[in-house]
Amino acid sequence: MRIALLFALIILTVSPVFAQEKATLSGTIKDASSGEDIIGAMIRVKDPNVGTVTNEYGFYSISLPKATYVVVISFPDYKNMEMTIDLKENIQRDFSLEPAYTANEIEEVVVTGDAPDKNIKDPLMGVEKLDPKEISKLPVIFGEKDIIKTMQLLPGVKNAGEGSSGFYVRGGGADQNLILLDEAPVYNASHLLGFFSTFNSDAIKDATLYKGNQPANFGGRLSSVLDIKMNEGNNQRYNVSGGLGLISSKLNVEGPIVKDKSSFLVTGRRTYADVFLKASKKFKDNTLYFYDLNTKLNYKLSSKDRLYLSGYFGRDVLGFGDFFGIDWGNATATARWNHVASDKLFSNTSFIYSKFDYRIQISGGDVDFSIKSKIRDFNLKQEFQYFANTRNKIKYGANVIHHSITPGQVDANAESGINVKKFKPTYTVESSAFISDDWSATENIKVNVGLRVSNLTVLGNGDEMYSYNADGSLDTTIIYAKNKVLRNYFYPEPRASFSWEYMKGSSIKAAYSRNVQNIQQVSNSTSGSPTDVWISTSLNTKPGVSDQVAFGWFKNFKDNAYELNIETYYKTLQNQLDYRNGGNEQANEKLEGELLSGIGRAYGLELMLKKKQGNFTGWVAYTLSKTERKIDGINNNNWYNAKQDRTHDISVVGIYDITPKLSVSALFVFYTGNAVTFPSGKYQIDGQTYFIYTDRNGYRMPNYHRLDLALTWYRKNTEKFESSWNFSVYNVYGRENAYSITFRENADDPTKTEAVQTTLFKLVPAITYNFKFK
Amino acid sequence: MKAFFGWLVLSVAVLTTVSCEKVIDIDLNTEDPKYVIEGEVLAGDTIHRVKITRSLNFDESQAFPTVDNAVVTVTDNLGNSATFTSVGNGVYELTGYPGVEGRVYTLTVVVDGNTFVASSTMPGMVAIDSLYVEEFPFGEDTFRTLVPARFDPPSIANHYLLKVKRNGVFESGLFLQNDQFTDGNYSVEPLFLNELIQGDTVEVTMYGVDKPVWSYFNQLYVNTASSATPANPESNFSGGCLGYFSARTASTKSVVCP
Repeated sequence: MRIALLFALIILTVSPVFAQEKATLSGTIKDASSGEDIIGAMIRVKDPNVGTVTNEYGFYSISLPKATYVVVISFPDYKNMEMTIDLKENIQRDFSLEPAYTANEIEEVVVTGDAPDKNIKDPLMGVEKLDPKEISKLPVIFGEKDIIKTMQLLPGVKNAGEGSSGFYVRGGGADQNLILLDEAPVYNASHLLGFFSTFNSDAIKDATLYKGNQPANFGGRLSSVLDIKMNEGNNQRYNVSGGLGLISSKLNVEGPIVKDKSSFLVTGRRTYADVFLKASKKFKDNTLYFYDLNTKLNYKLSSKDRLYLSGYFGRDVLGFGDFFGIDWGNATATARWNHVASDKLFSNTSFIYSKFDYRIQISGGDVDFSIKSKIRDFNLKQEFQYFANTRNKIKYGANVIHHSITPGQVDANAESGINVKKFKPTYTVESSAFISDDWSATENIKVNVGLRVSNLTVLGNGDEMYSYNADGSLDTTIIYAKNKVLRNYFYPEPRASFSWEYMKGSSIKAAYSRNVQNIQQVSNSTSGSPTDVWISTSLNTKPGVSDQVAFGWFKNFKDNAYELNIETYYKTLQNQLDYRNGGNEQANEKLEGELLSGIGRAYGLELMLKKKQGNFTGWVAYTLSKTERKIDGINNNNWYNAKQDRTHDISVVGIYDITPKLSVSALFVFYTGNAVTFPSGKYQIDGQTYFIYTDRNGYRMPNYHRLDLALTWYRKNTEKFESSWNFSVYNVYGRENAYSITFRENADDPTKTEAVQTTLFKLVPAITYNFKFK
Repeated sequence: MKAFFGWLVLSVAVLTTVSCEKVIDIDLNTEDPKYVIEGEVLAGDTIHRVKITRSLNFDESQAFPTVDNAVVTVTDNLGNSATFTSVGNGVYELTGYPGVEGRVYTLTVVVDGNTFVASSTMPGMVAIDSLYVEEFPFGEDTFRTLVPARFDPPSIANHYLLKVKRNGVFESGLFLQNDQFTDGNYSVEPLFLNELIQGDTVEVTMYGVDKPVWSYFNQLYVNTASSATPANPESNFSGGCLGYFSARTASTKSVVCP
């Protein structure tokens, strides 16, 4: 009721009160050569100078007083379109933009797909947009281009270790990033011990990262939202493209089903390290590979209705002969229905399925034994975008997610002596509703204000549920009926951000947002493991809550060729989980008794200087930050540095196009070593030496730095075929960066103890060949 | 059930093909030396031992100093008490005080004005029923595991600590098992030893310990197995010393690797 009232109130206050008669121009804007919708294309009229941009489905709507207008449609790398439109009544008009380069020319790299001064005008803060085309020229380890690894070069984003595709945003945990692939949450976004992300960049159209101050339509994670949209597939012509690399190969097939109406896209990737293992006698019984499959279909039902089906399936398989195996992966499916309800009202209905599971199998002799674990979501989402007038764009909607989490299910044969344990999954329902308004208060002041309300309902599952004493020991065991409502956690999540362009090309911004997270992950390993446990808010654990404020100064120079963004933030965190010392986390139905809960804080300064135009492009990103936790039962209940705390973090990226067919790029990173726990003393138990630890994370790993180089060479480019070679070298000067530091007894003299540093990658060259049949 | 982490071992093996190691210098903080007490009371009429040493700073290379001037007493929940005798080299012994399953023992150590007290429950006896070696062909190699089979008593949480002697020498590393997955069954959970070869004589002693002692050793194990955040295990001693006191049962068997 309260929400409805609030919504009514906002609509009333923002509705135009003047009587001048208006008409609405609406429709979609797409790429003329592929038929793909363009996200963020600009449509402006010249007098008065007002405009709007297309939404994530290429839809726009603009309401103006009835008159004749000169309309300009533009998007970087496309030819501007200009036409006169006599707006006497509501008009629905779709536009197709021609790419600025014909098929025979080389595709130019764009640093951003947005309007050149979007960073100044947009009230949102901490938003980074990545164009998958942009990353193709950058050097990357094993030549495996990866959108997440490029994102780690942006301010406020840190990698989860050398070569890792895990990331931390503004001091948050790796589980606090909501990673969406066509709206479906991806629970485990990495392959092969974290060295590769699950996102095959050939299948990605657009990726946007919100660093904590996300608008109200996003929710469910504390630190960030990484919103990834898959390509739709060319509805004009068939394309087959691919790439051959050292680690994996990729194939991408797309084309129209019915020209102009529907299209499909299938993208696959598989690694082949296992082929080399087979060649070695010692390792021939080992298995080690992963694969990804992205598929998408879209169908235009009518001029007002469009249907999208998209799916992702990926799996990692690791095995050690017949007696040990583990495999894990994500599966997602999204069905979306876009409906243009009126010239001003755009509706999107989504049904989303998302699953992550892992399976460990052990067999040998008489024993046959497995552990399975699964997290599964059914998600129904309804969202409306109401283009009220040129000043207000209102979004509102609701979302219900049914989570089912199955902790380790143990299955075994009778001879193994192992008990079969079939725990029933735990069920929770996460419901939320939101409303937000993108409001241009004046020409120079823009506001995005919103409210999200979220509620988590804990349901009974017909199996034992436990409560615990303060020391983690079992208190009560109760069986609740299935789907009985046991508890609700309700939280309002206000969001607001504001920008003031105080002079042309310069603005200041401020933002506040609260985020609530009901599905949290607890990890005890350095780089994250697929078996790390996801747990839902329950009778014992409360949702994580974060509050973040941010301020920023944004300035563009030389006609938007250079961009300088400076942001600061302060974030507090509540109900952060960690394991008790000596906790037993494997397939443990009483896991919640092994957890401790506490608070956190993170603050920092982020600088970004970007050059966006010319033969030489690139950026310098610098982050100064601090992130800490305080959990009762850890570090004598004192504040301590979170493991991802890094004081300084610098990335320098440069791309130079020597000729249109040849470009070189360089990438340099430097960061303070992560906070780690090292021993300060040693003692002996049972004749073996163990270490004494004092402050948690009281030490630092050595500083990390390296330089990578790459060269991209475009070969043939004809009407039917194009190809390119990419050569790269990771860690050119062979810096021995510390992946881990361990402590051990000296092999020759057991009274001596020594610190041993392990370095993973020293100078890794790579070569990739890409091709496309058109 | 530490075998689940075997996949980590495998992945590390893959990574070592590209990684390299070197010994480095790190400036670590120093710490005041602490007392380290390892106390055991065994089931049956046997010799009970307590060992007291002191900790060292990380960079000190010398033998761990021993403590021979402590007064060590034990009492059970029925009030039977006895005093240990120092036999030198930090070791204290007690005989003629039979350990009884199910009793709660309290060990008190008084040394240089400090008092350290810990209690531990002696679990019911579980014996190794049979000890055997299992073989699996793997590529060109043969992979062998050691199985200390036992009948696990039902409906009771059992925790086991195992010590392995190969050809008369103790194996380094910690061997921990419990009945989380095998409660009430004939358990054949294997131990993974480095390259067990034909002709090796292996002796396994399986100790039944209570949960706090098992958790203590489990944390030691977690610290050694590349934990992101190692932490000191929680000692059952009060008074600020390191170490543990364990009332335990023991069962020993040996086998020659075929």
